[in-house]
Amino acid sequence: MSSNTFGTLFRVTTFGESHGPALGCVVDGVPAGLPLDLDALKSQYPAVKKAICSFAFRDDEDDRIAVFATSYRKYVDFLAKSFANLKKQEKRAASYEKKGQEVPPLTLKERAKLPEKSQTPEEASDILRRLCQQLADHIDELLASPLVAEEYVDTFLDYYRQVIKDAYRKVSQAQAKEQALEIMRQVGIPQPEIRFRQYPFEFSGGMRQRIVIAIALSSRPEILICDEPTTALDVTIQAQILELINQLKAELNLSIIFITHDLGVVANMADDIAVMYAGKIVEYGTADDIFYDPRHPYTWALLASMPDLDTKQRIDAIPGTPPNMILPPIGDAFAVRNKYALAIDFEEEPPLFEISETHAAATWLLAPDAPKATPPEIVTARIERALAKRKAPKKKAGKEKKDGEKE
Amino acid sequence: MAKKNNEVLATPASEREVILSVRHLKQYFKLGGTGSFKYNKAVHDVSFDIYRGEVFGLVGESGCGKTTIGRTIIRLYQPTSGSVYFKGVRIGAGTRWNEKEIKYTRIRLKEKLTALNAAEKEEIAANPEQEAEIKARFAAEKKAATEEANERIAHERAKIIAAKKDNANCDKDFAAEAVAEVNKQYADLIARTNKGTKFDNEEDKAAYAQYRKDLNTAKHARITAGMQMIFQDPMASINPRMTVRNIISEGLRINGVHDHEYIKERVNEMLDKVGLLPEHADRYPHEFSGGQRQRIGIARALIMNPELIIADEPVSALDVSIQAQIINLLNELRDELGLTILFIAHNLSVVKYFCDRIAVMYYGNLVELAPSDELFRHPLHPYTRSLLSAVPRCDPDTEKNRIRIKYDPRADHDYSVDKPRLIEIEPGHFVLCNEKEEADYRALLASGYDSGYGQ
Repeated sequence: MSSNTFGTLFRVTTFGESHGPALGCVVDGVPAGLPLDLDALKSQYPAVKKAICSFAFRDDEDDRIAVFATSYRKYVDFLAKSFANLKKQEKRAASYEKKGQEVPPLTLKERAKLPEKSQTPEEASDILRRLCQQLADHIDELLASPLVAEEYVDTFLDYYRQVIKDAYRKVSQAQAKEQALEIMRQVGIPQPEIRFRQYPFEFSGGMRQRIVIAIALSSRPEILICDEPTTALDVTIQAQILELINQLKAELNLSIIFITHDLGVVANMADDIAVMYAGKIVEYGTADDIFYDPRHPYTWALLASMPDLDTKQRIDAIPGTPPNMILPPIGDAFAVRNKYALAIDFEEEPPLFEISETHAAATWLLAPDAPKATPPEIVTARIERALAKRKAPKKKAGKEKKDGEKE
Repeated sequence: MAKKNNEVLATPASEREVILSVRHLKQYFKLGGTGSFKYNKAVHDVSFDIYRGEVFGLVGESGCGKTTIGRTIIRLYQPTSGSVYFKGVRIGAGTRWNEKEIKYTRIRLKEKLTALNAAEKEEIAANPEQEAEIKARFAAEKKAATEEANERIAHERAKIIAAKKDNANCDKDFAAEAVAEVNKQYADLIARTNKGTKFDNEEDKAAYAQYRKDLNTAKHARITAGMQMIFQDPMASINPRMTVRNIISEGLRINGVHDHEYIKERVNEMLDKVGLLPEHADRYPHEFSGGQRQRIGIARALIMNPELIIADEPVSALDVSIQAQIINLLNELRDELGLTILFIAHNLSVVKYFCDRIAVMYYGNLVELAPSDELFRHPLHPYTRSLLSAVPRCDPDTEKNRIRIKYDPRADHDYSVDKPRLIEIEPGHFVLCNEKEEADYRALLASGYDSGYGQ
């Protein structure tokens, strides 16, 4: 990193590699190398008074990144723009060379608008590593200094993280297109160069859903919330989309919150399940708990109302509709439609009773002195069959355990 | 309500009444602008019959043409080719096949004449002395060929005219018949009162008023009123600016009924049938949930006393728990009113529960047609098998270890030489296959193949 008097910006890695870009930028007006003597900084550059070094610590080795920030949003914009200016400058130089003329030297102002380029990614990452190390060495000092009071740090850190997130996402048009094509390929859209220019009505339902997933993934999330992603799609496309989501979950190490009303889809995707009714979680547990040992009458009713490919039994619909929450019901909200309702269900709301470490349900049937209630026949029959299949000797290799807890 | 004992399938095939018959239906949509046209062949030669009282399921992915078939049957589109018969009366017919026949007849005739001319020349060259007789002989042959071709062309033209006539007039003819019926019924009354000019007593007056009413109904009668449709999206298929009463009674009003009391009574009856309350009649659709709106759609279809209901994915847009309610409702109504239902769906588990016979479609072609038990126990066509393997189950073990069978038409079939047809492998079980595949399937069935779905 050179001692440019203006903010210096460099990219360590390009988008698409697993640890993403590292953005190093220095407090404006301060020479690179980040002097950590804040008093000197303050006296030399008045602007620094308002500047705080914050970082989201991420190092190349442990897949972490270090980010530094200025305190003013517009400086961050400036830093992002300087990258664009670099491109412009290169183009301009190229056009001069094409014409065979000499490239005129940069004026001071122009040079001010340009970032310094690191020669190779290795060199840049090297510099960044040194910088991170320096910062790590001095971070306690930094945080202890009166300029950076403890209570400010968190909020400013968040702010900068947020701001920096935007900053390093500010890419040029060409880079954005490249990233977009990459993501489109990742979600399985064929011929992305052509489809890139098309309108949504030219896509089928499944493809549109893939585009939506691509949009969600473009900001490299850690948590993906899927709100009924396959409701309007038919079974083969639904299966493809679910397979895609599973694949992306494995590749990108995502956690997924999957919202749906289809228990078949839930059986496919979920490790932990929370069943909700009228704004409350009425039962939660692992997938095994919910499907093979359901305890809440609403879960029983849901399982009984699923048409099953394996049996001939008729499906038991749940009569009635969910309650109007403008006038919330007294007691258990499900009591009105509940075949197993007790008198107390109409008076008092049941608390969450713990069944096991992972499993809990909010129903008075689990109270110590409650009458015994068995789930409907459809449900018990299905559970028996499934458990019998489990115990049966497997001809193929056993199933692998899915590691990691994802909701 | 055990489906196995369904009376429809239990009656022998010869005694079952066919209520809807679709023959060689093709529906092509033109794409592209001026110049070369490309056809989107949405439905490509589909034929099936629906018997009275059964639930016929039409299953397939989106884009396979099942909605197009539903809309063609209900006459929202005019068929490009093939015919649709409802209760024996042809209500939709396309002419593309006939036009193609005419074109090809002319081409063949040309070819034949060219061949004959060439042969004639040869013979004359070979035997110049018999020129006159050769010429005469060939002239006769050419004339015969031309006559035959012209006859065929005239025949096809007549078919085209008949098709166009049926398309335009099937309802009118039906109305004319109904009017004739009514007139016959009241013949003596008309004669007595001299067509309403001379009334002897009060009874006659009342009777004549009744006659006028019946005549009005008959004039507006349509054969296609016996077919009603339930649409897919309960949000989009109901006019948000009409009250529920207006929505449900719209059909009656279109058919000439203006008696408010009668309409009110009928609407309340329908609301009761579908499980809503009379006080819902004056509300607007946005005050209802998805399941309730679908019930409104069902009431709207039922008020016309249809014999056939085409349900175009009626439960796909609803929650699974509401789906069960609507399916049970349709089942009850079918038993109560003796309806026949064409159920278009893509969710095989719902179809299995509800339908008697199921047809599977793939990109405009009918690939398998069988009674529902049979289809689930012995799915033969690879597309059917892939569809079944994609259905989600309520069991985490099977789900997480499931391997989905993928269907690739280019890899799974070789139709380069041997073209496929719809072949009846077992009585009632039709599969689209060529002869080699037919042999394979028969061998598979003989070896005791059971897919494991359903017991």
